Amino acid sequence: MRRAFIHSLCALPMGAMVTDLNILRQWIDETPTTARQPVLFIGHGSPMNAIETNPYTKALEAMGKMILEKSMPLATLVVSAHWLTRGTFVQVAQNPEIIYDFGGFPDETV
Amino acid sequence: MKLYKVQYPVAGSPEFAKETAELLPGAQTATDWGLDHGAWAVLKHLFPGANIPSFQLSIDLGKPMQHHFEMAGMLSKLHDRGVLIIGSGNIVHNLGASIPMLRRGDKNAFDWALEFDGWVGNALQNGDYSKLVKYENAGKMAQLSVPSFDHYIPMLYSLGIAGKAESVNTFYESVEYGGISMRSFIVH
Repeated sequence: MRRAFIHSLCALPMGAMVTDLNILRQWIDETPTTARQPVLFIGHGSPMNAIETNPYTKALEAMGKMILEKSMPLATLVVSAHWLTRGTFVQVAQNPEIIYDFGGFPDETV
Repeated sequence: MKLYKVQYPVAGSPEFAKETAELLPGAQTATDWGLDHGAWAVLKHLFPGANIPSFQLSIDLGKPMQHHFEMAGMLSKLHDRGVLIIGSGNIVHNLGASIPMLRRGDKNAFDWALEFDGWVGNALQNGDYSKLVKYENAGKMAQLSVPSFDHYIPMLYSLGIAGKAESVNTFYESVEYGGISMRSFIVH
């Protein structure tokens, strides 16, 4: 299972670069599993990535699986470039709604 | 699938959110925000099961870069307790220069974008985070790559939370449509 996963990362086409794969493998296999989570930075680019399947989205899927394999996060906290304020705010919604905070993409009127 | 019909029915985490507000001086809680596309478009691919409670922290645009890096350091307790913190932005984000390329479907990168993205990549690898806080010192390539700093700041949160002892691994690297960097990394 793990082997297949590593293989799928290696098979990503050009443009998707995976560095120090052995270190990531060591992280999964050799570092003790604690509550502590890693930290991510994700380049998000065009909103169209949300509905496409491409080397980038495949890399995100693979990374998500790797994190879950290590230990399941209790929650995720996202610091997004699209929530800009004066002062600092933390969203406390019980059931957060999806915000379509962009315009001009296909199917807008559908 | 239609972009404007995407759903990501995930629960929030009011408990961790309130704790986050308590950790950050002057922070307030908000109920008038859900998950913007910087959050859901990324979470949808990372965790398609939508089974991990998710919440957001805003970026105070009135504050300098160093402030964001230091705020992030105050979140390390959450990170230790099992909250996965995700900065979501773009290291190079010059939409004005990229729109004509996006319209043409031209995926080539501008030289200055590649240069700045590579410069950031090296600083990440060397753990030289103070250089990244003071990115403006990198001159013209930085000015062109970060014309407004909203998409750059999330990276400072990712670095400030993790601290020096941890290592950075880039797992996706690409500059496309002229001036948009998709570089993504994990700190562990």
